[in-house]
Amino acid sequence: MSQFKRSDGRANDELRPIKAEMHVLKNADGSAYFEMGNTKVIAAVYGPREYYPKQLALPQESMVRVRYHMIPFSVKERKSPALTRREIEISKVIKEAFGGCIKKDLFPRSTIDVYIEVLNADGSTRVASINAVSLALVDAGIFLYDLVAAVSVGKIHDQLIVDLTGDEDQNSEADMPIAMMPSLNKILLLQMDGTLTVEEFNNLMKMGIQAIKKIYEIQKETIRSSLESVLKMYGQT
Amino acid sequence: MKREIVLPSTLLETGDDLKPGLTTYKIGPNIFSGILGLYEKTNSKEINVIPLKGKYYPSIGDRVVGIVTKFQVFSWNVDINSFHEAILPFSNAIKKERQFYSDLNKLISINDVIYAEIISFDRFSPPTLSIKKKGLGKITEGYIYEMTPGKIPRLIGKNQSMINMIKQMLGIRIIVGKNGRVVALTQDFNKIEILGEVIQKIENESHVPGLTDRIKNLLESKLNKTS
Repeated sequence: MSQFKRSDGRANDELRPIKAEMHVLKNADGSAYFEMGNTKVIAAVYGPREYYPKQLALPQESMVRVRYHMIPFSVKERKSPALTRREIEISKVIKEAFGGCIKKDLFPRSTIDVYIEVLNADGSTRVASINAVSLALVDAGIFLYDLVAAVSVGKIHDQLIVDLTGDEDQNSEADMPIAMMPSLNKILLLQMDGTLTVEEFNNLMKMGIQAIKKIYEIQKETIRSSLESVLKMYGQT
Repeated sequence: MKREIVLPSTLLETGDDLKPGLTTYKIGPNIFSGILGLYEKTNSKEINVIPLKGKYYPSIGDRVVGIVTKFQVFSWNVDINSFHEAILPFSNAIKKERQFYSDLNKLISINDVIYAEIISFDRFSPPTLSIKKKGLGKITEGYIYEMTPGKIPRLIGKNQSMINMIKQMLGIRIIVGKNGRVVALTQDFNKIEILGEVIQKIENESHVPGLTDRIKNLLESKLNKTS
């Protein structure tokens, strides 16, 4: 058991180095960049804005539209720029995750458009996307019940690990992305691929929630530092 | 008077008699913030956060600067920088309803800038504008700036102190729309540039205390340089 070592030398419950930045795009109402190791994601939020065609708009709440896309050079071999089945599915999954966290009835008949571009894919792209979108939504000033933090957990060679890389993902026995609103203790996304025993599932959940809390702190720090660069300028005034 | 930066899900107040506003929500007796903003303790029963980002949320009685986008059968459509386009019915724009107009396009046409008041808005109908009152109407000259709508109160200041100071020092007329659009009614390009810098400073530093003094210093140094 002690023989097991992850390819990048991390401990089983250790996250990859995370870098996050807000307001990276000027044209979007809100945007964010999120990096977990080699997985790099940029997210842009437009809206709430009017929905066209108007007759399809929802009369009492705003719609959330999500487009998750991997750009052709994000993977080792060129990926076709058209949306694949996998991308459409992930878009839907992310949309449903954020449906539970945005207060939609504030802006009836409108739409909130979210665009996600994966710049470099190395596993856990959907959770990195969720982390990026969460920051971009805050940047756009949209009503959120809480920030959403997400992490993927999995099992490889009978070991439970957190934050899978691309290689680990391909060789894993099971992987499970989790997204939640940490301070409200609510889960927004839970998928699983592979097989786990009930005990393993419970342990993975615990590890995932711990990792999510770490990411949540990083997100909060990012938001604060985006404002406090100005505060520091005036130091003691 | 201490303002603090709050994030979504920051606990603001606890109390059964308190009510959540447009920017907050309530679980049990606790009121949490829903947006990124500034929170200041007040005596009001309705708890609200001053937003630092986001679009304009229309409310009745607000005076806004809009841009006409469409000419329709009964109204003009006006972009007011919100999540929904506003409408300006002809009946709210024309004072003498009995008079016949051969071409309403001459009155207000597409891309015209208007200063208007929101007279009705609810969740089931779009905001409706009126330009019948005094001081409202078409803006024919000037320069438009855009800023975050939530920061407009900082530009105006307490009892209009900040905006009056800016108007006095620059010696120009300024129209401030609650929707984040500001119009400088002048042809003097120098002053347009200075006002742009002032607005940018307010935009960036609205959450840092002592803003009025810094704006005053900025204006003084800029005006001394040019004169």
